[in-house]
Amino acid sequence: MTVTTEAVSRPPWSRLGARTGRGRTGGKPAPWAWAAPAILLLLTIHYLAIAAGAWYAFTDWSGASPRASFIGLANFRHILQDHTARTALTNTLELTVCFVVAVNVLGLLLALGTRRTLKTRNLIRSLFFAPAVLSPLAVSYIWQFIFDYNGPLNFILRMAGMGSQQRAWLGSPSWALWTVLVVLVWQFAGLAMIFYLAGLQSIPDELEEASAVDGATPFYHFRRVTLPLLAPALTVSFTFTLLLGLRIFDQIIALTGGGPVNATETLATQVYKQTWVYGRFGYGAALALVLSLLVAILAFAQLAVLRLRERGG
Amino acid sequence: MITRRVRTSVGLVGMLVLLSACGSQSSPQASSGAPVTIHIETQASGTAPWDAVIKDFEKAYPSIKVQISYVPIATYPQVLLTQLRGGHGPDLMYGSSGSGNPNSLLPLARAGYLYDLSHEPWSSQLPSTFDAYEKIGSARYMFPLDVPVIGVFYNPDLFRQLDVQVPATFSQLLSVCGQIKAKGKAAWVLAGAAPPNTGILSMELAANWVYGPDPSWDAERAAGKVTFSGSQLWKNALQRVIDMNKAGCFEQGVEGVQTEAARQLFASGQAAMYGLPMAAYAATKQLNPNLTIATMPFPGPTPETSYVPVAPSDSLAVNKASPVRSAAVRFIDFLARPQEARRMATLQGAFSWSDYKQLEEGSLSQSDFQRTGLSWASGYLPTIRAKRVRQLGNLLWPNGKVYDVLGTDIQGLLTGQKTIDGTLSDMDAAWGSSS
Repeated sequence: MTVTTEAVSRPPWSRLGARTGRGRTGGKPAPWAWAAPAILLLLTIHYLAIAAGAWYAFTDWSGASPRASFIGLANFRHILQDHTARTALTNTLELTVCFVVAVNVLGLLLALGTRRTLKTRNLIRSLFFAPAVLSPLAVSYIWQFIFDYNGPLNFILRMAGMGSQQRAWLGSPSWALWTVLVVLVWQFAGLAMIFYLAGLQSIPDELEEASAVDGATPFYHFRRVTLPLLAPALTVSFTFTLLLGLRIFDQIIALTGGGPVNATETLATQVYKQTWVYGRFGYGAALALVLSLLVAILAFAQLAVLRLRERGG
Repeated sequence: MITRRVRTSVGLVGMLVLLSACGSQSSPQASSGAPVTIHIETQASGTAPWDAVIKDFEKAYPSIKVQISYVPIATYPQVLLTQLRGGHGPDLMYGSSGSGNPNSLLPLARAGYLYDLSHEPWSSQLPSTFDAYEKIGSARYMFPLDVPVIGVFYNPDLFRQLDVQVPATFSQLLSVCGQIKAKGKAAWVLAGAAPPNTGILSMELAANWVYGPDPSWDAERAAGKVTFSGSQLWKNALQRVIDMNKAGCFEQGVEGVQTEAARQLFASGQAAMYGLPMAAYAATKQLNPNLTIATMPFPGPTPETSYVPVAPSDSLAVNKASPVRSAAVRFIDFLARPQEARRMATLQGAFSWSDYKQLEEGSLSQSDFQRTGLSWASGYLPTIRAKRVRQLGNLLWPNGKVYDVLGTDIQGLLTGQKTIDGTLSDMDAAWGSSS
């Protein structure tokens, strides 16, 4: 039997990478060859399935019927004409922008506030982070009770002599979307805090001491030292919360169901309703495709801008 | 000599075999004499009725075992459809009759998933009024598990306590609303943020102001002879929502109230009336066992023109591709026996098909009615016996969107986002939307 040392250390398929000359690191076999089965499975199960699903966006499939007729771009033309779809798109963008900004500002403030000095900082951090790991439905039902007309919020307003400000928070066309936003920010500000705490921990103490010796004010120090060094954390947090914001679903379904009269409808809730409630799988798939493209475009654009800033561009 | 390449190939083949073995399904034992298991899939809305009938069935047919899965209501339609499309559907499936709900069974029948039950002995005995909900042509695709009446639950103790008369007409209702509101309670509780509940109110109004005067309105709409937006009858019906709101009938903040909060308001004695289907009785009593609930039809223009919507909404169907289809059909045949049907329906909080048929025919004696365990629903009897019963129109509509739009837009009528004309136009658009 002639098994050489090289044969033992190199599986037969490692030659795949060697042939292309790519993936060699320090003369060792290309690691991607080892990953090939996993990549193949990922492509087959994940991306191929998504591509197959995307095909339905160009059909009139009802979900129950065994046949789906190809109708070209008709579903996409209908999205442009559909008032509800347009409202959902606007709401999605408004909610996401406000969510990303509010969650990151609050998360950063929480991270800075609980960074040092406090003895109970670990407990406080845990308390702020806890909502992020709770079930969105459980959280939403608690908030639904708080926002009920006979609930605690209106009770506090009455007690504070602000009875005229009482309202059906989740039933008001002008307040419902922002009421949902409050719940989302409350739930995920702790998550952004964790990203920023990780970023803050990577900033050397010496820099802070040096800027203090140079007489920098806390705000100047934050603007000129902390913030630039937090750029990688900003990138991660902004990207993650953007993706979260664009796909918000559970909280809206549980709090308002998209109402009153579509006032809190988003693309994600519309995908669900059109597909499963109305049995319009083709149209639902078209909306899902629009949402996926929106997520991809906005996420990559934001990532590009933030990476540019990280490099000081 | 076995080379490394050969060993690798053998290993890969082995893995494939292993994977395919994991993916395969053991075929059910359907051969004669061997025990078979039938699988029922239903929405998770109470296990008691099913537990009772399954126990009875397994006792009567020891060679057939019944396995039941409860799927959360919100995801039930998608779970069922996915299973059917994948060829792994249950042998028996719960669903709504007609085609107007997300879990409706008629669209599944049209798609070829359901077995024709019209040759079963009970099929020809069902009231002919059920046909529109259950049949396509001459083929019947489902069995009605119960027949709920949709009407008004009211709290007679609260009416007595407030010294207010129970209304018998719509104008009396508006007057009663003011009186009850003046005494610090809500006259009518409505889950304004829950389209299914606003939808129920609108179907009660439609029974009185649309289907009462024109019972064939839905057939005319299906034939394209009338439209919602062109119908004065529908305008009259929806105007009643605005009238009730203006008269202060609903609880404060009605537009933001969800089902749980509404039910709690009624169960706690803070509201006098609540429009609900019979099946909601048990859940309401569970919140407050001391609550006395009485029933009446929704007050129409006059007592003689007050109708109740009735439909065999909860149904059970057989999967056409089931490998144990004959056992599944036997389960339905068993359920169709009058005593078993009554047992199931009473636990659901509604009439069985056979009791309802006798009610309609006027042949159900008072003592028999008492035996149904539904004496709390006796307020509906005069209306049913007088044949002032109308269809639950939304089940006959072509898709679930029309009813959802109606329920959603009723909330819009309360918030001022919608007008009656706008609501009816939306319903027409939803009716014509492709599915």
